[in-house]
Formats: sequence, structure tokens, C-alpha cells
Amino acid sequence: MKITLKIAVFFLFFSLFIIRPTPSFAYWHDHGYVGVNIGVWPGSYYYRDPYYYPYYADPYYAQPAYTTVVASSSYQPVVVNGVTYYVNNGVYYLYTQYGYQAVAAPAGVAAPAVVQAAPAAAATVSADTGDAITINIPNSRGGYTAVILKRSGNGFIGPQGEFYSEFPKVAQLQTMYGK
Amino acid sequence: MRKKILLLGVCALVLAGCATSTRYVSYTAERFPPKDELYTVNVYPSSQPPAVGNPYYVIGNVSIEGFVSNGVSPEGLANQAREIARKRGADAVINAKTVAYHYYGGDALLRFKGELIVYAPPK
Repeated sequence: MKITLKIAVFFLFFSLFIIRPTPSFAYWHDHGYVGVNIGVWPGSYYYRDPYYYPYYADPYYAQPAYTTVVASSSYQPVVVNGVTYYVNNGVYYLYTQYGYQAVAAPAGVAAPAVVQAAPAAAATVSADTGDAITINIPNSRGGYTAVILKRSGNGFIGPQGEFYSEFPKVAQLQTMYGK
Repeated sequence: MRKKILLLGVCALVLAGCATSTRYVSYTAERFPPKDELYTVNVYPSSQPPAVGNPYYVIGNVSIEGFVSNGVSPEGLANQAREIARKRGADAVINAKTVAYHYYGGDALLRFKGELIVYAPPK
């Protein structure tokens, strides 16, 4: 057996061990830019979903065998005044031939909350910029008073210099700053 | 000799490995002209949607994942998303987020997800 043939056989055998599919390989259709796909991994997994490109085709360099448009499940349809809008991450969209077009919230409909926003509480932490934390405390006027706490060791220092050994409760801050 | 060099070259390419896996799902059959390499593609996190006053179309979503042990980093994934956006003719990436899945043994899988947008032409 010629040495080149030996190298080729060794290379093909060894490549079986170095191609590692990701845990969700059933959904991934191609690999990165530096890899060489030699097709030793079973290809059927990559053909399960007809919307994805064939495993061997790199969609960024080669044209796919076919083009299929997929509606995203993260866009929830909402019908307002007979018009179907799609809501995703707090933004209204209309579906057009160019994709989902962002539009302003339709009249009479409150803008939906951004899903990823921090959950609101009675006293909301509005900003955490490193050592300073701003908390909005309900006040007697029906509004909120911004209270800035600064980290100090394991505790926090309030606006009047008071020290809290742990993060203060709303009631604690309200007695001082809720008037 | 030439064959040997060729074989060694192919081996080296395979050993370089597949650092990341990518997936692109299009929401439209329309094609957009690729952007120049110097075009800056902004990546907006999901907590920061772009202003509706600047109208845009969402043309598809992109997912990229790779293992930390292969040298993959969140910045690298975001840069790869930018590269894909340029090739797809997108102006920016929105709803971007990177999730890390930790495995026993210390390795972690980083998965980037985002959606590509093109700004609507001014009327």
C-alpha cells in the first residue's frame, strides 16, 4: 500500500472522531467558516426540517437548492380593527413581502410591555450602575421618590449616610424617604 | 510529493475544526444586496429594540453556537452575526442575546440568537 493511500485512510478514519455535532445538531444545517465538511456524519439529521438548507451547502457562499420562507413563531398575531399585526418583544409588526415591518402600536392599543424588561415591583430598582443602585420608593403624594443607595463593603449607604447591613426593605426606605 | 502536501493541507483544514455552527432562517423571499465589509452592523440586545420612528423590516433570524473550549466567545459570535448580516444585506441585528449552557467538565456552549433587519428606504 502506498504511503499516500495509508495517509488518506488514516485521515478518513481519524476524521470520524474529530467532527463533533453540537447538542442540538438536529437543527443545525451547516458548520463554520474554517471547517471542511466531508460528510462522515449521518446527513439525515440535517434534512429533517425542510426549511433548512442541505447540510453540504453553505448558504452564505452558495445558493440554496430551494428557497422557503418561514414564519417565525415568536411573532404572535394580534388582530386590531381588522388588521393583523404581529407582536414580538413589545413591538408591533405588519407582515410584508420584505419581512416583518415594524410599525407604531395601533391607535387605541397600549404598547405591549417588552418581554425582557425587568419585572416591576412595588419599589422598582430602576438602575444599577456598578456601586450605585437607584430605587423608586412610593411616596405620600402618590408618586415615587428616587433613592440612591451606594454599595459599601457587604452593605449599603443611603442618601443621608445611614448604613444598611443588607439590602433595605421598601418599608425601611419608605419611613425615611416616602414623605 | 505534491499529493502529500495536498493531503497534509486537507488534514490541517479539518483539524482546524468546525468552531461554530450557524443557522439562518429567512422570513422573506426577497434578496438584499450584501453590505460592504466596512459597513458597521449594530447589534441591539433584546432589551433595546430600535426606535419605530426609524422604520425597518425584519428579514430573518440567525443562530450561532460554539463551545468555549474551541475558542468561541460572545464577542466572536456577535462579530460572526455581523458578518452574516452583511452577507445577507442587513443593516443591524436586533433582539440579540447569547445564552451559555454549562456542561460537566467545565466546557460551555455559547448560543447567539438575533434577528436581521433592513431599514426601510425614506419615503
